[in-house]
Amino acid sequence: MKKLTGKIIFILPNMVVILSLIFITLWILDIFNPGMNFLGNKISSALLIIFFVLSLINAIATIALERKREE
Amino acid sequence: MKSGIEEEYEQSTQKNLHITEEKRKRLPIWQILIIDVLVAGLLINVFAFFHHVLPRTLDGGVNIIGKDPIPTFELPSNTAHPSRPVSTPEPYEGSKRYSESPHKRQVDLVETYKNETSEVYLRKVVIGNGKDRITYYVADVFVSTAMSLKTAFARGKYGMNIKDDIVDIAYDNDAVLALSGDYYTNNDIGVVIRNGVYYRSEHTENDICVLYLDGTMKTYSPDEFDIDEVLERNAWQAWTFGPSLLDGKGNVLKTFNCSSYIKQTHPRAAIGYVRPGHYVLLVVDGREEGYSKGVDIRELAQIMVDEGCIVAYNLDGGKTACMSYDGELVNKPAGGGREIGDIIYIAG
Repeated sequence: MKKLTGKIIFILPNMVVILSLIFITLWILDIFNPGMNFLGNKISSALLIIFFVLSLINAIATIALERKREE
Repeated sequence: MKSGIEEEYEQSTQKNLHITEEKRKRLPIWQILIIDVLVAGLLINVFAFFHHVLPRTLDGGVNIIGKDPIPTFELPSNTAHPSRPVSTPEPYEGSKRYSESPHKRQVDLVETYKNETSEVYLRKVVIGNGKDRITYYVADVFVSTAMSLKTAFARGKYGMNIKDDIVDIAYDNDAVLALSGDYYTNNDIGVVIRNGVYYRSEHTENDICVLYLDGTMKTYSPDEFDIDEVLERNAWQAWTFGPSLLDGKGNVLKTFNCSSYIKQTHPRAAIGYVRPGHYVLLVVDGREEGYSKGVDIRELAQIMVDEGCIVAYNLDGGKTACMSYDGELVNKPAGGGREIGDIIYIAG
């Protein structure tokens, strides 16, 4: 269980970094060609929700770990 | 038996060894970031495949044309006193507008076509010289009813990422003249009404252009647009790309509802409205110095004014902008062009 938690805590920030890079790319593409709807389509919307959830979990995990370390 | 100090030392050594092993296993941050960038790149390609490449046929639309009588319009060659001799390259009802324009043009009548329901006068126009040269093709289209100004989807299917060559789409639909449309197939937003069939009306930030069965054409900002009103008025075609170029009285708009990228100089395709039954289909070549540099959005609007339009609408430009006549490409699309999602055409 501890190992799994450790792996998730390692993977989580990387997934947030990856999704951030994807959204930065889509945002730039959207500036050049808004007609393509890079940010508003169904796939982007699903990715955005995943991004929000992962960021939230990542933030909570970071706060919890920081607390544990202080204790 | 070990003393307390020895035990503590052993524990500390084991701990240090464990930390060193963990450190050895871990990759440096820069390597992890490179892996993240590569994974992001891979996922963007997967995204592009589903969003941009994989063709998907969508459900067919709903016929919205009622049983109201359809207005008819006189074709120029049928009128008792045609105000435009067919042999001249001047635009119909527009010679004054050309002479009022500050730009000197070289105008050549390239093709003319007549049948019982439509007439087409295709001209090549060149403005300027050298690196500032602009070349465009403009077709004055006259139809006896708005129903003769038709549209067609690539491969005859409504859906996402369904594309084909303009000449092939024109051939499939027996089109004598065809212009690239709004590339509706590249996204799932905006309004799509084609040949009196309503396919979708999804939220968009773009202006919308509607051709009604009574022959009038109107452009709407996203805030003005009301799909119920448009359907009630018997819309025949609706496109979503934009921006709208003129104010409905033949004046160039002061501001355009589009991104700064769209405003820049590009190859262009546009549709214009002179009066019911008289429309202008235009393609401006670009990105080829010495032949045609393309036009920015304000220059395009001015060209549409010069061509006599009171309503004009920018369609998808860049590599998409192309026109075909009688099975042959008329213009020189930038970079060889690309497959497109839809056409606006006159049937032969």
